[in-house]
Amino acid sequence: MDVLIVDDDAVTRLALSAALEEWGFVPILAENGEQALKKLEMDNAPHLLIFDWSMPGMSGPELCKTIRKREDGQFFYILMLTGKEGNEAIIEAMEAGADDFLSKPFDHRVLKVRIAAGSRIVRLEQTLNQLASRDALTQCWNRRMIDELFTNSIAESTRKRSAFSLMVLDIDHFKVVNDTYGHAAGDLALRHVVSILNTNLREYDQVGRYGGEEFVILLPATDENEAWGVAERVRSAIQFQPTVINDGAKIDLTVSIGIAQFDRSRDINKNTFFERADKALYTAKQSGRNRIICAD
Amino acid sequence: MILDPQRVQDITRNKTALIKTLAQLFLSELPDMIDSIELSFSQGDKKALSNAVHRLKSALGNFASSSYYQEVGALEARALDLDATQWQTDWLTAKDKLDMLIIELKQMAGL
Repeated sequence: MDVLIVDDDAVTRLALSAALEEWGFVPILAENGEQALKKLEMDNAPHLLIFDWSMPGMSGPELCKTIRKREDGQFFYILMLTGKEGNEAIIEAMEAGADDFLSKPFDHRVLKVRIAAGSRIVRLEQTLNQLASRDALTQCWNRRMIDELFTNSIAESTRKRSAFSLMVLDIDHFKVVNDTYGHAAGDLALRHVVSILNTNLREYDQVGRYGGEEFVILLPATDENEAWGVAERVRSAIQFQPTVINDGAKIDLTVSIGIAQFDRSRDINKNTFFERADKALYTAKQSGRNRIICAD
Repeated sequence: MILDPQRVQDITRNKTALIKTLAQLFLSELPDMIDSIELSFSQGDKKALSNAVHRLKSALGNFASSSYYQEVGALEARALDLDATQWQTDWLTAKDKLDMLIIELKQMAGL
């Protein structure tokens, strides 16, 4: 687990960083609050943080408050180190948003167990996040999370004035799969479809399970024509890669896909945009399935 | 003894190379720390003086005995309500002890 150390004293940074490496953590170093905030903007930013209280510029408590004001819902466990002592200092640190507090000079054995406790809480929080945002069966995003990502993608597309397309995908005649092969085979088929989606989508595309056999795919920086190319790759991969169930039998699947490109002049909100893609899916179903239809 | 050898051993898990690296880093940073303290004292800048002593105190937290750490902590606290003469006397005493700590640290690190 990565740990961000924020301390203006080079000797303390070196001592802490050597200790953390010894205890199996990966130290990330910052000399002040401004550097720390930059490190926390990175992808895969550390979630376990050790701050010094007194630093030039932004102090430890000010840094805590700034981090706690973030609106992206990310959790950070903050351990504050300080030369201050007494209850007043503890209260000030915790009120600023610190989770734990250690007075300098501290016993490194105490730091070790406090860091271990912090890392347990970070892991627990990550597990909870995973459970709250992933579909238990397929491990793609669940409806709550894909809805949130959908809102963010619209905001990003509006801000950057970039293209954004949406795919709504439904497995054709999925009820027949469950009725013919049983629900366990149906579950395998759903996982197989998500696996094909993950293989054929790009790194920055997002997949969510919206209902039983319905999936939503967000395609950032993608216009309708490019979305069509992605959708066709997915459609044909699913058609030509059947699900293999336990007894070796193969289940052939096809999917219908509706596509819409976000149009700021027409889509007054998220729902209007989604409805256009959903209607396109309906048309795909009505016109024979195993096909892609773009919204008007 | 101004140095707390047990503390250095705890921090470094008694790894000779790490003791040496920490000591070298501290000794390379020390002249600048002392200059900052003496410059802010000569300018009568209490806030800067307090910050400069704090920086030294933070670094000493890795090596110094508890009593010396507290002594420097007191210098940091009193920098803000500066009785210049008394403060300078105490600083000179603390600096003598710092010289002793440097000798002890160099011995321990084999420098």
